[in-house]
Amino acid sequence: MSRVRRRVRSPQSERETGTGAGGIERLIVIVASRWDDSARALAGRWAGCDARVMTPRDLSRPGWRQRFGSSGRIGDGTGSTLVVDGRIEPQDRVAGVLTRLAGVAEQELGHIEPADRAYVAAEMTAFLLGWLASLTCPVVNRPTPACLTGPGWGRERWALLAARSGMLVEPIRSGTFSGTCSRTSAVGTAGQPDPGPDACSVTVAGESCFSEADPQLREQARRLARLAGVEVLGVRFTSPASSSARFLGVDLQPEITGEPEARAVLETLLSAKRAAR
Amino acid sequence: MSDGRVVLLWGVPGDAPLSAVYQALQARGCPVVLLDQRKVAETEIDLTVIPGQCVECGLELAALEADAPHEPARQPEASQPEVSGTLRTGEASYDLSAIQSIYLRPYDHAELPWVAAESPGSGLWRHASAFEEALTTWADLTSALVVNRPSAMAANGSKPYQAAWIASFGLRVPETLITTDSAAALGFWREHGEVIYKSLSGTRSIVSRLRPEHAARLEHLAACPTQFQQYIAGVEHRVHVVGEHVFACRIRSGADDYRYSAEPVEMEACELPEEIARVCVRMAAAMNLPLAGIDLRCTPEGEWYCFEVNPSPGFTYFEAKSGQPIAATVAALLAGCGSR
Repeated sequence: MSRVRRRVRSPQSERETGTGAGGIERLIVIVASRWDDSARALAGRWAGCDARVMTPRDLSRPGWRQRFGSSGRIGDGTGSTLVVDGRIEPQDRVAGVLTRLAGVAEQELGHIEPADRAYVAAEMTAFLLGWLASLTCPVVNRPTPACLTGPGWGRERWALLAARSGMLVEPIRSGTFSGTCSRTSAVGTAGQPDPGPDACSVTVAGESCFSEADPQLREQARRLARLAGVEVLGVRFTSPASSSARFLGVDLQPEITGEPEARAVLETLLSAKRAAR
Repeated sequence: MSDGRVVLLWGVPGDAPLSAVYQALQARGCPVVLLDQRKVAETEIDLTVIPGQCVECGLELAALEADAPHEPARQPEASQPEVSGTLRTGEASYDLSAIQSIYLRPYDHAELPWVAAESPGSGLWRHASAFEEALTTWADLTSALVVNRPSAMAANGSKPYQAAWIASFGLRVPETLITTDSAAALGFWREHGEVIYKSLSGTRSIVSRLRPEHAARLEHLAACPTQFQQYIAGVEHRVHVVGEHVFACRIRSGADDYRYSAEPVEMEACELPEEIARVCVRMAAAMNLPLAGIDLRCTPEGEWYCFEVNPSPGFTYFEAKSGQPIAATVAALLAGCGSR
């Protein structure tokens, strides 16, 4: 696995995740599913800073206090607190947030009465969107109303953008196809290339790329992430060879398995743009 | 409109806003197709996306491709647009490129009785699901006027997210606490004297004032973040923005939530202060909502608070009481005669 870096950014982890104003240790929050082993592994790899996983279970614990007033930004008020991994923390300890949860699913809420799960899941998702979007610390990827981990686009929109990034993309046919003589529809989609045995993926983390794919594919993946406005993105191709590789799809919560990838994601997180107040 | 192009309406014919717009379009003599959601089994869509075609297709991707390379990976027939397809309903068939504008008022197919009666894995269920997905995909990608695009409506799914957006336009939003902590809720209640609670998501809920008899229930807050807001005394206003047209309606009701009032609700058309009307138009445009229902309240001190921007307003309720020509204005917008 090769690593390509176009521009090396100086790691800011020591400064940013060490102690903040007043000598308070800063906190990295990974918002993830309770079943996301990759998130737990990341928190372990980032042992140099206080990195912890927040799951939907943390939204069912006393301790969340988030206020907003005329600015409309949650957490604007003094004394805002959150709950991470079962512990109550002051909001101003948070140095950065990695989002690995597209939305809260009912399946995450085994501790809630079954009849209430759909409502609670919608409420938690709505809250997380407002909270994540309001944070002024770096949030990677920033949420959108359709998805907490970035743009919640469908396959078609990603494919259009992939083509603009220079990738080979198969036409996509979707809907309900049937002949004029029959009302029996063949429901679904067509045009998705078969992943095949050579399928490969490229993981983009800021300016870094991780893959065995050709440099051209890595550059295209980086370009796609930039066009989509995301810092972390997995891009799948049918093959690692740029001459034949076709775009298969994207993953807004790619598996971050190796140490170099984990370090790159942390560096990306800590050097990402802060939201303006 | 006499160029063979049509206006598409999608929803259930009994839906009041959909019916009102349909009738207004017919009154204008405008070619209109009403896609009846109840007949989803007889309705089909075939959508084709051919990425990489650098032709003038007017896709809504312009904002995303400001620094995109202009080097398509493949060059199919240059005359073919990137997004194309066909819509069939009954015996009629329409090329998607012939649809000039769309008004969307669909119900979730899972809530439609004739679909819900079938099992989720059934052919009808899968057909309805695939149809809905393809049509909403197209509605987000087409260059036709869409009232309103599904992607633009999504922001209404989170009230705190929308509140930040509203506040960025200079409108006041009430002091708010979102908490899982009963002590924090009690403190907020004491601080403001009167507070209301309501849902955070787009799930419809009855806005209610927190009363002493609710105190015992505050211990349940730990289950899920709950939103409390400072109660704002004043006169309720519902403002419908249609393109650049503003229809303001003053509402007098003694209920915390006039939509569920047991007492009669008084409504009358009114004029907003010019600056507030301008902000409403600007805000709806920035949210990419050609049609929006904005909930405002004016305090006795003349301060304007905004609570929510509804991207799929049931405007006929207000139209019936105020006499404002909202449906006709939506129809004019769809017909290409209104300002976008």
